[in-house]
Amino acid sequence: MSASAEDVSFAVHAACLRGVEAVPVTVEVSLSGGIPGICIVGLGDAAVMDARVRIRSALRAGGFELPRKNITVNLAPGDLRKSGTGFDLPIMVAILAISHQIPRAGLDGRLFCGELALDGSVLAMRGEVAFALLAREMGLTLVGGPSERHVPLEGVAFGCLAHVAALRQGIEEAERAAPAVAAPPAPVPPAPDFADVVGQEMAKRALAIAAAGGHGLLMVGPPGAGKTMLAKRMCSILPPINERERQEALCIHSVVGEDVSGLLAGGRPFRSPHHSISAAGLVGGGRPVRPGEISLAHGGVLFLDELAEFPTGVLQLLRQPMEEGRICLVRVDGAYSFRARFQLLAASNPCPCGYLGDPQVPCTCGSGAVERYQSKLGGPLADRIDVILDIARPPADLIVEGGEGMSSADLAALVERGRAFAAWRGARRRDPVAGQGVEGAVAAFDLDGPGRKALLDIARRRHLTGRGIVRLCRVARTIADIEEAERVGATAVLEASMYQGRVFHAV
Amino acid sequence: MGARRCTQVYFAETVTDEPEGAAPCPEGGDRDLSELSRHELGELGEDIAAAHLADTGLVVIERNYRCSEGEADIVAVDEDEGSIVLVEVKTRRADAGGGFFAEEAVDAAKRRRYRRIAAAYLMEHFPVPAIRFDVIAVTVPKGGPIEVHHVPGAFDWDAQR
Repeated sequence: MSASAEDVSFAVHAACLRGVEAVPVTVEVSLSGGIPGICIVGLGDAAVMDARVRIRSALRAGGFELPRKNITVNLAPGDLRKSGTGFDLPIMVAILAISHQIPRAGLDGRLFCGELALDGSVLAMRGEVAFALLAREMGLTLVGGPSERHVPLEGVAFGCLAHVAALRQGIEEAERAAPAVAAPPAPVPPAPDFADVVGQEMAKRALAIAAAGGHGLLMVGPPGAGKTMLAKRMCSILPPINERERQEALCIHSVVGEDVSGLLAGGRPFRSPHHSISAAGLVGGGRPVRPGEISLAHGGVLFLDELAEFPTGVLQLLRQPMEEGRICLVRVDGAYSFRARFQLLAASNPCPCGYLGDPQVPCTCGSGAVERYQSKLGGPLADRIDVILDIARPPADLIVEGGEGMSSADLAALVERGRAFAAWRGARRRDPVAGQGVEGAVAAFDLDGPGRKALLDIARRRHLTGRGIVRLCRVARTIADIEEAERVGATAVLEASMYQGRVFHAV
Repeated sequence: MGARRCTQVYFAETVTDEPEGAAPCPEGGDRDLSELSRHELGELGEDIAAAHLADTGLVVIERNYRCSEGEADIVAVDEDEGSIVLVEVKTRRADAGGGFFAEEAVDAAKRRRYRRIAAAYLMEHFPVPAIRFDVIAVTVPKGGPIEVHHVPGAFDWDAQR
C-alpha cells in the first residue's frame, strides 16, 4: 500500500462458502463525500446486507467511530452470489483501515472471516474447515472468532480474534493476545459390538462380505428381527478411515454445521435419514446449495431403514453417486460437485405386514399388496444392491439366554483380510484384461473350472442376464478374497448365489 | 423564557465536511437550549444554517419555499457556480440518533421529494441555470458549541445516490 494521505480504496481478503468449498472474495472499501452511509454491492443476500447494522454497533462498542463519509463496499467478484455472515469482520477491518483508525501492517497476509456481535465480539463461522483449507492454499493466515469446536489442521495458520477493540494494537498483537484454543477431544462412547447380536451369524458374515467388497446390502425381514441393530454396528468392522477421505468428510461436516468429534476420534460417519427426507435433503441442493445426507455419509455408511417407504424418485437419485462416488448438481450459477462415496445399507420388510416367509407368524397381506410393495424396491437402485439378505427372527430362548457369536473383532479381521488380498491382487495384475462385454467382465474375476461350471449352472437355472451374472461374480470374488484364494471356486460362487434374491432383482 | 433567535452568534463555523472548534458563546446567552421544543429547535437550526450559508458566500434568496410537492428549507444562489441551491436542514440534539449522523435522515423518500420540489421551483422561476442539492446537519449539544456540518451536492438528479 502506498503511503498517500488519501487512498482511493482499501482491500482485504475474505471468503464465501460455495457448496462445500470456500471461494476467495476481495472486500474493497472506498470513501466519498456526500450523505454518510454504508452501501454494500456485490450480490450479497439478506444476511450480508444486515452487516451494515451489525458493523455500526460493533464499531461503537469497540471504541471506534464510523467515518462521516459515504462508504461504498464492494465484494468482488461481482457476479458471484454471496451469502452468510462471514463478511462482517473483513468489511469492518477495511473500514477501520481506510479511515486510519487501526494500523495497516500485516492486514495483507490475513484472510478475515467472522460474524460480529453487537457488543463488538467476533463469532466463529460455520464451515471453518473449508476456510482454513482455502487459507492454506492461498498462503494466508485465517483470522476468525474463538470457538470450542475449532479443528486444527496441519499447515494452516489460524489467528483467533476475540474482540474488535484488540485491532487497535495491530493485527499481529491482537492475534497473539488470544491464542487459538483447540477443541479437547471429546470422550467417544465405545462403538456397539456385533457380539451383542445373537443368532444372526449368517447375517454377520454377509455384512463382513459387503464391507470387504464395498457392496450395497439390503436386509429383508420381519420387524424386530435385528436389521437396524446389525446396521448400526457396521461402522465397527470397517477399516480405519484414510486421511484424504477424513479431510473431505471434515470439510463437509464443518460446512453443514455438524458435530465433528466422531470424525476427529477416527470413526467413520453413520447416516440414517428418515424416509420422509426430500430429494434435496438426501443428495444436496436448496438455495444456497448445501450438501445432503449422502455427502455427510462420505467415507462412512448410509443406512436407509424401511426402504419401501422412501419415495421412488428420491431413491433413483442415488444411482450417480453410487457409480461415481460424487454427485453433481447443476444450477444456473454453475455446477456443484460434492464427494459421496459411502457404503450403502438398506432394510425393508418383505410385505406390508412384515411377516411374509416367517415360519410361525402368518402373513396377512393380500397378494396384490405384496406385489405392489415389492415392486417398489425394484428398478435401478436394486441393481446397485449386490447382496440381499433374508433375516429371520432369532428364536426366543436365544434372545433371553444369550449366546456366543462372532464379535466385531472377528468380522473386522475378515474384512481386513479380504481388502488386503484384493489390494495385493490388484497390484499384481498389470495388464488390463481386454475382453468384450460379459465374457471379458467374467474373465476378470478369475474363476477356476468348477467355479465356471457352477456359475453357468446357476445362470441357466435362474435365467440371469449379463448384469446379474456380473453381480454374482463380484460377490463371489469378494468371498474368495476373504478366503485368500486366488481363483474363485465353486463354493464361493454358490455362497454368492445365496445372496442374490429372486424377488427384488429385475434379473 | 422564550427562545430568541440569534442567528449570528451561537454557532461553530465549519467548512465543507470538517467540523472544527467553535466560536465562544457570548455574554447574554440567556437561552436554555434544552428547553426548546422540537419545532423551535428546528427553526433555530434553520437560522443557523442560513447564517452559515451566508458566511460561505451563498446568497439566501428564500426561506421555507412552499409548493404543492412540499417545502424546501432554504433556497440559495451560488454565484461562483451560477446555480440555485436547495438546502435541507436537519437539526438534532447531540445525544439523540444512536450513532447515526443527522444528515443520514435525508433518506430516499426525502430525496425523491426534493427532486419534485426542485422541478416545481424550475417551473415557477424559469429559466434556472442549474440546481444543486445540499444538506446541512446542525447538532446541538448540551453545552458548548453547536456543530454545523455542510454537505454540498449531497445528492443528485438521478436516483443512485
